[in-house]
Amino acid sequence: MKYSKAYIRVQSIFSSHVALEQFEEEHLWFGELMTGVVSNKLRPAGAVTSRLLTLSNKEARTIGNSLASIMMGSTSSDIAVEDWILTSPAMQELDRKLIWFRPMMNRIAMRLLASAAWGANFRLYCGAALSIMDMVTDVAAIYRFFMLGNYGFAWANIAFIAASLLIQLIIVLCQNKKRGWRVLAYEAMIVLLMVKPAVDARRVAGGEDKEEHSLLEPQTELSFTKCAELFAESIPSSVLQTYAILSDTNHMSKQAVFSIFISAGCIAFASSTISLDLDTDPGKRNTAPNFYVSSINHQP
Amino acid sequence: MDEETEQIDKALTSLAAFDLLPQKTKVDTVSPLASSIIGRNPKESIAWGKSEIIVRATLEQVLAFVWQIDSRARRKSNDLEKTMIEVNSLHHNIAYFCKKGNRGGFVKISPRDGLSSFVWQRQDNDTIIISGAPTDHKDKPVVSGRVRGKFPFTVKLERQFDKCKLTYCFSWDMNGLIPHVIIDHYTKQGLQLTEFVQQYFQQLRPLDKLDEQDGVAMAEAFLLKYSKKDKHEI
Repeated sequence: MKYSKAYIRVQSIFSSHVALEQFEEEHLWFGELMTGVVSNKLRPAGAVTSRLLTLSNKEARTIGNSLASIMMGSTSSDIAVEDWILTSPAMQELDRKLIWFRPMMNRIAMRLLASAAWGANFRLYCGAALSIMDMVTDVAAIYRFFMLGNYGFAWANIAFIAASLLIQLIIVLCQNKKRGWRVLAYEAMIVLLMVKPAVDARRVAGGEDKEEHSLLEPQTELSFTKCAELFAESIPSSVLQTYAILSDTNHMSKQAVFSIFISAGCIAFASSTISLDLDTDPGKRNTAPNFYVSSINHQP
Repeated sequence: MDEETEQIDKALTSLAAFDLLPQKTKVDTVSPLASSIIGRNPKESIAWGKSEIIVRATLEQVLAFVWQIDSRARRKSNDLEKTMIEVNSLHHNIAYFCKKGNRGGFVKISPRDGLSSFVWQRQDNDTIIISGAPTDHKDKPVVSGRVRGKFPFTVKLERQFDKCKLTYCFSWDMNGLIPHVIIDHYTKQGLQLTEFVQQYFQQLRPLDKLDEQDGVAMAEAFLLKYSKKDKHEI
């Protein structure tokens, strides 16, 4: 009989770890749960409402399998695990009962999230690609404004991009001022080359920790950069370009509409991911559970 | 006794000397719980390695595990021989070990053997030093087909409440013109001792003693890279 890699790994860990072997003897479904988690494959997730005492092997496997699909919609492993635990009463019981269960799941999710090509990575790189495309289409829009003689619009658009870059440079300065001028110059160059969204996304997706002497976590830096881009460039630029099109319908081009479309996509993507991350943050849910739980379907 | 104290002093000096090496590179470890560095002096063919990890065991338990080099738990697939040649006292012995070479493939490496004088000494209630220094012995002369290498090492064990910090530092002089890449490969393998010790004691933790840190350590075990043995079983 052929077994999956995940099954062999889980059984091998259980047989070598005294504690896990003891726990599996008491809870026969635990192996199935962990096999589902470690396999990290996207499968349709079914709802399991059983309590810990009545949980079957099949249900445990379903719960384990569902972690991958939950991680797909999260940038942070802790958020994904929080969601995963909240969707099943059995996992909530397990979380309350075992002090080591949550840290173990958080670490497993962190490693899986960093290695998986889908989910958080896909979301981060999509966001980064949208940001860069937005910059490129804005540069094209500026060129078009100059060609049409709309110098005011062109300079206003340049000012928006400059403001966005300036705010990003200030963030970089605050973040890296204690890390030496070489690091600071390198980070500033990333901003000026307009690839900061992609670099930030790679750092967050890779699970990088906060660097020594830096101010913010990579995830927070990414959110700050997104906000700077959103309010200084994407929103004013899309409003300006929409106004330019509406005020001169004779020169409406596909390129101009595409630029507005990309800016709108960038705004929608960035604002919805920021609000989703805030809404599903375990720390915020602990402090204000009635406010930060709107996106999760709680089981009784 | 003076000889043993001198060996321990040299071990402590070499541990301090590691931090002064001009070239140091962080090594990707199998388990992220370990922190390992390879160091080198550009004018020497000797490679240095240092690895640190927190082990969930007492100081004395870790000492026993590191000291018993010929125990079943310490046996590895690349060991050709591991013998205790002379036991001078409970804290001083001489051991012989030989590692497999590489006969297949493009690079041919003869088996490497070594003869080491092992000494351990308690510095204070919370610190123990173990030293391994190259030595000679009439029962184990240099033989053809096995290249005698020098593998001095230092192990520092520090008590941290119910845990123990294990620091392992060693240098290789593989006695021959071997490229840095290959020496680094073997150094990296050698540094895995810390991860091996950590995993050994982690596996022995009983269910009622588990805490948050055990959860993190067990999670890392679930996600270690698949070995050749694992792949063969699949």
